Amino acid sequence: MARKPAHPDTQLFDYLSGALDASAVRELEAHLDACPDCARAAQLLRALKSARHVTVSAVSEHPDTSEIAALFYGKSSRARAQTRAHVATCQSCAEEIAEYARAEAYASEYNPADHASGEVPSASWEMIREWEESSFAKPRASSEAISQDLLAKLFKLIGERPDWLREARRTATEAAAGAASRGVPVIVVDRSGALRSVEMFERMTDASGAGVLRHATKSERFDARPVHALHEADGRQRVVSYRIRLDTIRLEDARAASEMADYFIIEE
Amino acid sequence: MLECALHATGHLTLFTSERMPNGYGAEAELDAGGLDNLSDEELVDLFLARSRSDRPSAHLCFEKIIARYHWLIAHVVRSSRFRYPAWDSADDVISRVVFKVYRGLAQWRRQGKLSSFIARIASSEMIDTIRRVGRDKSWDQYAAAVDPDSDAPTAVDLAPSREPSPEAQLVSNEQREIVDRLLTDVCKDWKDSVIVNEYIIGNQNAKEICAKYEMSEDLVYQRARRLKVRLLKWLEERGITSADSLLGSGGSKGA
Repeated sequence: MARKPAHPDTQLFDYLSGALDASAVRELEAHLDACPDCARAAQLLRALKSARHVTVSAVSEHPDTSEIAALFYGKSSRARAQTRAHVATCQSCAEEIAEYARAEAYASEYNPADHASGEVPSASWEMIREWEESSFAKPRASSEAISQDLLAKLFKLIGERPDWLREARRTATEAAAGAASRGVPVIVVDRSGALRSVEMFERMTDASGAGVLRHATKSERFDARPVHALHEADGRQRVVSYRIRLDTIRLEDARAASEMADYFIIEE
Repeated sequence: MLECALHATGHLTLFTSERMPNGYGAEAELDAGGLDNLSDEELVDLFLARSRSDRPSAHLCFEKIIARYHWLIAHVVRSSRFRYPAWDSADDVISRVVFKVYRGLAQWRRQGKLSSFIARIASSEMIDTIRRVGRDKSWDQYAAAVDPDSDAPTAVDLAPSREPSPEAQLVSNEQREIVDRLLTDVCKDWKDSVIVNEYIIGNQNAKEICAKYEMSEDLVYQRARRLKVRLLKWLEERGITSADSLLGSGGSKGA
């Protein structure tokens, strides 16, 4: 009995892209005439190609750069499924992935000893100086970081959402079960104190031994935003304020580092 | 660990630097020769430790780090496919990358190479710049040729509407919904995403994709075959077995 030929997957993709020469096209079309599975696959893949314009033209908002970076550098489970789907149809975001791939290839081969040494540009020193002299480079005192009005709104918000917050905490605890780090739900509010969303951070220790909270998907979209750790115990309220650096909240306050604050709030 | 690194250098003498501009951090610093012998990890540890109490020394550590990696930053930025306008040049991007490396060194996780960490910062800064430039109306090279006081209709006024009819829009929305769900379920990582984008529904060949995304040709073919199986299985499970049912959204839409 004649053995059925293997499905020409690679040639099928090239055929649909118009990359096959004439003789290869004839050969493949003969296979399609004889193989209903491949014929159906070709029909559906062609339909997907033609449906591409529908999804591409609908792209109005690209994922944040940090999400594109998380997709490239992070583990697949950490990147959002929507980001993967977006990159599958968006040419400009695919180009951005290509930039990360190219840079990573250079980085993996790079040996400083093989190249001339460089200097810090004077413009960079200027930016460093301005940054170090600004309040962004150091933790802010709680008294100047948050107004009493906003603080009252935040405690009110927490008080009004016990079930909702309990659910976020439960999800965080479950996600962290057996993991080296602990999940911490962080509430995001706008400057008026209105709720926006909940972000998951992971509690861990950094290389210098300091306690930190790091965004679970390494997103840097909250870089430089203020964060307020609200402690509420024995009827007393205490607030410690920080700035997020890239994807990390460094818990400078010893007490905040050693115990779980009740809630962390980010003003957007 | 940090103290060990310091003692290992053997000389922690201080001297005056004349290299930093504006006299900033020009008071006293560590012995440069000793720093040259430190590993990246030791140098970054020293930088972070000195950042809190002794900025001139931290700056010297940072100079050493950039001395090692400036070439990489410049190469990543200058060899990019992106083109920058004169008012936000590659030099400007490099300066911002160096600043962000300074600001972000505390975030470096030692499991990865410092070169990789720095290349990531450089790529992200390039992408942010290109996105920002793209949003800036002054980047439109044709804008200057149009008299803003003219009553003549602009190219935008004369352009035909690109809005489809309500019926066509409804079908498009349904198609988009199906394709979005399909790709969300089928693409497992960035390699799947770009292979779908460029190879399966795009028209790039495997060699072009290899060069562009630094992956092997075999990987492209292997992934494409697996993706084809997953794509077809997903569609079949939802009753979409023909082009008509996909393009006309005639299949069952239940997940």
